[in-house]
Amino acid sequence: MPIGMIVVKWDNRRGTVLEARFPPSLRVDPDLTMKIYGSHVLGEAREANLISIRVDDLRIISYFGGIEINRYVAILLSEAEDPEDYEEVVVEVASRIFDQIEGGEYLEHLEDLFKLIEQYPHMSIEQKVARLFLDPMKVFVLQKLREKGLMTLDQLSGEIKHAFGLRTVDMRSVLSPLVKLDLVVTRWIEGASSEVAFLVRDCEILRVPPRTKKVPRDIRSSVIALFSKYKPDSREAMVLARALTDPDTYRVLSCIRKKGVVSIEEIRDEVDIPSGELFDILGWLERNRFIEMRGEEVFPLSEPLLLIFFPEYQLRKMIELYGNVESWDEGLRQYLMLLKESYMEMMREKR
Amino acid sequence: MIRQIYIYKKDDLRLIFHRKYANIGRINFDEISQLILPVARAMDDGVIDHSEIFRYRISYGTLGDYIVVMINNRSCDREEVEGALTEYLRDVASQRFNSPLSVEEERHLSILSRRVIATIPAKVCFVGFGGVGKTTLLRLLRHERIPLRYEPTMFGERAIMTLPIGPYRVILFTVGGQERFMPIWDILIRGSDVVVVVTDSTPDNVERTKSQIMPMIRDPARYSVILAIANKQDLPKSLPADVIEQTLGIKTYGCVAIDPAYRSKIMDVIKSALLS
Repeated sequence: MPIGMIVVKWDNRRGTVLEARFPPSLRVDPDLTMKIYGSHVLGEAREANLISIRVDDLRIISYFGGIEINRYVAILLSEAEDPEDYEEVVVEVASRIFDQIEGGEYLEHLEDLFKLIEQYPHMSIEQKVARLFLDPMKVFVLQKLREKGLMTLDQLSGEIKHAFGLRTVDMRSVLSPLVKLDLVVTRWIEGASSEVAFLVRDCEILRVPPRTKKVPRDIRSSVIALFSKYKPDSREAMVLARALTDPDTYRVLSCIRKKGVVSIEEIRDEVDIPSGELFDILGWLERNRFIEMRGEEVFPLSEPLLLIFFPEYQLRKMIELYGNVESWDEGLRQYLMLLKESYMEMMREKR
Repeated sequence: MIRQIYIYKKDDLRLIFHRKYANIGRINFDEISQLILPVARAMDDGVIDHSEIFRYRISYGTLGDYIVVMINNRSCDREEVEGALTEYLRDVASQRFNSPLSVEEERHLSILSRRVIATIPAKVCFVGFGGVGKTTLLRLLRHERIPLRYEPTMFGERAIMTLPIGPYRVILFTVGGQERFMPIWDILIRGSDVVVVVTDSTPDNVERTKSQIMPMIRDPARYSVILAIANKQDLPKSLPADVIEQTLGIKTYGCVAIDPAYRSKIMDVIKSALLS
């Protein structure tokens, strides 16, 4: 388990200043905060960067927001932990903190952020990918890459700034989870103004009918009624993503998925969640049409499904958009190679 | 660091309170105040403005019946000074003072002033190549055991000086002297009130300090007092401090940092650089 999390800013007069820590009882040696800051600014041209270091018996993974933000968020781990397991989550947590730095709004969410850090290494790939749908900027990047296949980071950053009305964008923090989850690859291409991002795997989040055969006849008609009017949109994607990523909701949903029709008592026994919270979760699942509750019994109406698939459509699009292979530039050739590698890898995983 | 504080009555611009914690060289504030006070009086309540001259910043604002002027170092973060001045103004304007002040009022304003002075510490940064004795100087000033074995500093080290200088809490920084840390020295130097260039007094080190370090610190230390310490004066063939002063072109003080007898001398040097 992580020992704690710290938010540290650089002050020209005082050096490193501890802005926040969690848990509140965490003791942090001021020399340690200086060492971490020194490691960030040394040799990275003062841009945003992620480091993993060892100091005495502590392992540390830390994300620095670049010299303009001049802050870092570090997770302190015991010797037994692997910092690599926390790479994506430290970047995600740091970006959220940096977005709310003015006014210190993030301080109210420290406990939740730390909970996310603790849970992240134990999440399934399905849950990690589903988390992307909760972040409008990552959804936007995926959409842009679906349209174009490949884009330079400068182009992507320009599009994000325009769409979200931002002055600066930390592309590393935006792309890092997409890269770690093997959806996107970044490469330097000769002649390009910046690194190029390639979409090599795609993902979609859907609502599907319950996959258990134990659904009673009258519930089946509710299922049919639900799907006959079903229209997915961005709000729906967020609901589905929440169902997959909230750890307690996910456990309740998994229990219902597995058993089909199930009593509240059985769920309580299996998931070990306090009654009040369990009823909140069941209420949310019912309002969002995942279940139907009749007295003490819970019936499945639908389930979220996350698909990760090979973007075959990109091959057709490459021909349509860029003509025949002979006229392709280095970027398109690279993309074809990367798609091939991704396809082979996915085939190997399937086997 | 905030060097001086003035409080004026807004209606007749009469000075009712002045505290001098550090000098401002040959700058004649009486003349400058003739220009600043009418401007400050015309400003909206709570607005802060600044004038910068040489290595000092004159920050001023008005609230209620009073105008407050704070003379601070340009190396201070402007927003931090604005925050301190705003809070001080609020405290002052919340009361009505006699002119001249009663003993009790004088005491009250002195306490308020000390409190605001303490919010911005002084910063002293030691720079120099590896092994010249920067960390040893830091230990000397903190009354700590002098290290006998050389351990290179990574990135930089920071420590609070055990005793304050005047009303100021002093934060000491040293840079990592190895070549790989030199590109990030500016991060540690920026915001310093005093930059102390440390050399081991050998001809080679002094020459390299002159050609490599002096140009490098010029920009980040442009509002700082810069002086040099010629360390290791006890070693044979060490150049005397006055020769090094001529080479570097800055005031230079001889020192043997491993000798605790030098503590008070170096303290006086720092004190004088901060307060004069």
